[in-house]
Amino acid sequence: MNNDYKLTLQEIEELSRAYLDCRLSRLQEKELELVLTSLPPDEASSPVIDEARETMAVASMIEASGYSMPKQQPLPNKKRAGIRVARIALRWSGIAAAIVLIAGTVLFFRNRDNDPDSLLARESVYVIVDGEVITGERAQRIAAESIAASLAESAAEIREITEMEKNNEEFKESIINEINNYL
Amino acid sequence: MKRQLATLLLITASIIAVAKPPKLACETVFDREDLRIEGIRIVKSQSGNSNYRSIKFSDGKKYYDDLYKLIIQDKQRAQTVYESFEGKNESILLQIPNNGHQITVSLRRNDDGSVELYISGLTEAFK
Repeated sequence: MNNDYKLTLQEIEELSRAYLDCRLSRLQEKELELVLTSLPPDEASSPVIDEARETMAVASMIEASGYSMPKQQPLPNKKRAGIRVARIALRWSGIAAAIVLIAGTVLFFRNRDNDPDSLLARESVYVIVDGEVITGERAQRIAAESIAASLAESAAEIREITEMEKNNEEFKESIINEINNYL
Repeated sequence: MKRQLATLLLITASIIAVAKPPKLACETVFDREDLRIEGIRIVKSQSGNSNYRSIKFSDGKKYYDDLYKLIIQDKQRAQTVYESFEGKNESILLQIPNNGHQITVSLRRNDDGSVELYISGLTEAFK
């Protein structure tokens, strides 16, 4: 702005509008302030000029009080590095989880067929004697004998124990009855 | 938040994919490769819905204590326990409920020194 050039009312209004829209530089704002304060209010007055004058007055008061917007403190380097690491870790953990899921599924299906229990599912009998895998009819016979013997022994044992328990109960009852009779 | 949930879901799904159903302690004996040697007989049979596994040691002296520790672990899950001691004969039989069915586990030591462990039940009981 040229200080020697006298501004028309329209130009002052235009500049005031620009000031209120924050389109002026700091230097231009200062010059406009100078113009508005040097001119008597009745010489340069309109709604937009008056609004600009009022805003300038408030801005000057704030500046005079020494108040300034608190600056955002930058995060210390350690914290910034920590946040960056956390972001990277989160991104890669998703990828790692996907890889583990795929690998686990592949291993599961691959090992299933080699597992003796799935061989068992297909062949129904799996017998090893002295380190040697037995197949065919001999395996079937060994398995049948083993099952029969195991289950028969267990059944006999359970029968014996329950019989003993029953006898114990009867024995206990007979003792109680005898005591009662005595009393 | 959505990304974190998705990550957690992926991790959980991957753990489930490699995880196996909970086993009895005694079942681990049948996974051992070092027991496929002389003096040991292993039988596994799947007949219809029934599953039977047994391992018999001709000379069970060095294996009995370890087997006994395993069966004591499974005893905590047993609904019924039968134990008998007669001279050198010793036996313990467990009936363990699982998945709505019963699993029978038996460990027996005979007076000739042989030791036998067997596990039997419906296939559904082991799931």
